[in-house]
Formats: sequence, C-alpha cells, structure tokens
Amino acid sequence: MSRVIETSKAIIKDNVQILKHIEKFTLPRSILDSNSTIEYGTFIKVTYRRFMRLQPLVSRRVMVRDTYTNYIRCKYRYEPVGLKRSLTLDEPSISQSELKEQIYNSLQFIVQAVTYSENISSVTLRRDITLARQILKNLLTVEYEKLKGDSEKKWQYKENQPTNSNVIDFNIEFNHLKPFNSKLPKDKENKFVAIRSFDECLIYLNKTLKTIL
Amino acid sequence: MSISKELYKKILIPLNKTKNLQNSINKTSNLVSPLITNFEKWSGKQIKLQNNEIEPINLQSNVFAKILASPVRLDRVSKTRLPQLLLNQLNLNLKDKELKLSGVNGLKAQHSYVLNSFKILQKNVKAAAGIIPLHVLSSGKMNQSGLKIDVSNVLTSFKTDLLGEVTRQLFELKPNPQGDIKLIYDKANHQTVFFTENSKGSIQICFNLSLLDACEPLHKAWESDSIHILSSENITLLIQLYKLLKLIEQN
Repeated sequence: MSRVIETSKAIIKDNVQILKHIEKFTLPRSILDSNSTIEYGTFIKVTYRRFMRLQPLVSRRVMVRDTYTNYIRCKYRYEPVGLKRSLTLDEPSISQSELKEQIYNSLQFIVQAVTYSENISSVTLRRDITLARQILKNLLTVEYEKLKGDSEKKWQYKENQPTNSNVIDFNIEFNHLKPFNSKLPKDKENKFVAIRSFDECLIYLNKTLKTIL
Repeated sequence: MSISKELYKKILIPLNKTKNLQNSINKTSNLVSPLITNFEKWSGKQIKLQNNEIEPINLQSNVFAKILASPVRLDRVSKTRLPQLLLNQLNLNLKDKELKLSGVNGLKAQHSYVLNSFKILQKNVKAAAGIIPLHVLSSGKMNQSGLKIDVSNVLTSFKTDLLGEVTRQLFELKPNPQGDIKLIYDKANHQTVFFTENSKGSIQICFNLSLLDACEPLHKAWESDSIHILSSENITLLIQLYKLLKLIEQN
C-alpha cells in the first residue's frame, strides 16, 4: 500500500516527492518581450539562480549534482558564447535577444526533465519528459567523461590552467570540434572523435530546439 | 549565611520564567510534529516538480533527441561512455564463428560497442582483441573456439552492408511536401547536416547525401533538387542515415 504525506510545500509518495510550488524554478515567457524592463545582466543572474536551484532535483547522487553545478558554472562563466555552435555550423554570431531566448528555452528544458510525469494525461507530453530526462542524464555522463583524465584539477575551472588540460580542450576552446592534426596521441585522438560525435549531435539538437545546452 | 526561602527560590528560577516555561509547553503540545511539517526537507527521496504549464516540444520525432536519449554504453576504442545510437554494435557469435558490426542495435549474441568513425576504426583496430566483448576475451572462450578474424574485412563489409541498407530504404521513400526534413544531393556543399529556414520561419533539418555515391541515380529521379520527408514516419531510417553520414565523413 502506498502512503502519501502532504505538507504545505510538497506531496511525498513512496519513492518520490513532488514540489507543489514551481515559481522558484521557472520564469514567465513575458521576460523575453522586447519591452521587458529587465536588463540583460539581471536576466543572466535570474536564470543562473534558477539553474542552480534545480540542482537538488537533477539527481540524488552527489557526483552527478557536482557535475551539473560545474557544467552550469562553466557555461555561464568561462565558455565563449557561440563558439561551440560556430565551429560545427557555418553561422554568424547570435544577437543578445536570441541568446536570451536560448537560455530561457534551456531552462524550460531542464525544468521539463525534472517534472513529475505520472499525473499528466497526454502521452506525447509524458514521452517528451522522459526523453528530456534521458538527454539530461546522458549529457551529464558525457560531461563527466570529458574531464575524467584531469583527476587533479577535475572540477576547477580556472582561467590560468595548463594548456593541455581537458577542461580547456572540451569546455573552453573546443579543440575536439576543430580539425585536429594527426600528431595527437592515439588515446587523445580517439577521445576527441568520441566526444565530438556527441557534441555535434547536441549542437544539432540545440539548433532544432533553440536551446544552448 | 542564611537567606530567606523566598529569595532563594527567586534566584534559582525567576517566577516569571516558570510561567513562560509552562506557556511554551502548552504551545508546543498544540503544534503538529516537525516530522509532518517539514518532511520534504529530509525525506531523502527523489524530488520532482508538479508542473502543469509545460509545452510539448515533440522530442519523439526529433532524430537528434532520439539519438542522445539512448542508453549510455562503453566504447571499446576510445574507452568513453556514449549514447548507444552514436556507436556501432559488434556482434560476436561463437557458435557460428561470426563477428559482425551492425548498424542496428539488438540484443543478439554477445556484443560490444565501437566508435562510429570508419577512419578511426581503420587506423586503430588492428586485431580483434581490441574490439571484441571484454567478457568473452577474459573467459578464454575466444581461444577455445579457434575463431580467426580478419578485422579489416569486418569493417569493410559493415560499411557496404549499411550503405546498401540505407540506400535501399532511401529508394523506397515516399516524399511528403509537408515534411520537416529535407534531403539534398549537393557535391559543392561540404556539410553533411545543416539547417535552413522554411517559408513559415521554422527551422528545417537538411541531410546532404553527396557522400553516398550510390544515391546519385536517386537524385536524378527526384523531380526537383531536393525532397521533403516526415521525420515522425521515418525516424529509424533517419537515425541510420545520420550514422552512415557520420561514419564516412572524413574529418
């Protein structure tokens, strides 16, 4: 028999607890309006906070949570905007309003990935939620794979890192997406090709969903 | 030194404090247990959101979403974990003495996974020991069976098989002018996958078949430069096509 405990903030079932109030995690679409009074800097802060608040919902494992935190932090603080996309697709840089929309859609995507789906009647929506969750899970697995070699400085994104670090290669300069020479060590080349196959597919997905994952 | 009894009592427990203590005891007895009020803070369960405002984004018919959402498997060549559909399954059948790479993932025989890049496979895989399933290798069954494998043969036949299969399906395709996927054959364009905007302003995915020489007659049979197909009807073919294009891409 399943027991349900309901508190003012959540409904707690056998294996899952469902938060009732989602205002802390989402944003209204009106924030993207051109006449919105919210400045670009504020928008970035507001979305960053929301991404970080979603951290406990992403997983119960500390390792996955850490990967998520560092992924978001690197995205916001160190990753050159649009570089990843321009390396794969022949496209000019994007405008600030497009970037805002992409960040907003990405937030919606992660919110969708952590939404409770069993009480939703639409089958399409339920499948969307499952797929979004699996994509997020795989994305974090590959993020972890990227930095596996950098055991010492694994989670520290600092600006003055040694140039041969995986952080620089995969998350800041995206050397794996550039044409690379055959002088690379064999292991490194294989890993570059493997991660590239994932990142290319992710960029294509970003393009179709207008996200910036 | 003796003090009066009353003064003594006052020093130990001030009278007004005793009243407060009594009051607070009365108050807490009326409250609900914190076990119930703040249970969500420490229940340790998986947390989800109750969200009734999500909009469908149709990931089900998105070929890239399908690929990225497939379960993660270890690649034998690069030793990296990647979604299954980005890798190729290597089936080893010890009974029939057969080793085969397959573009479609199934649960047949004993299998491992290898990267989806012909160039890298050719360069790195010199012996079968580098790619066959680890549990078969460690059990020693491989030596007992006396199976001898020519890896380059496995690779070439895989490429020919996948190419044949995808081309056959492409020839049977029924174009749909309303389709969201555009297939083109343009030798001048070096991109295999790219995006355009259609007249309604929505993004359209384009697959360039120019790497597949076998598709040239197909291109001539088209009425225009390109055809449109529906992704929801052809999702399996599109996944195979994407894999094939990435397999033979040369950079």
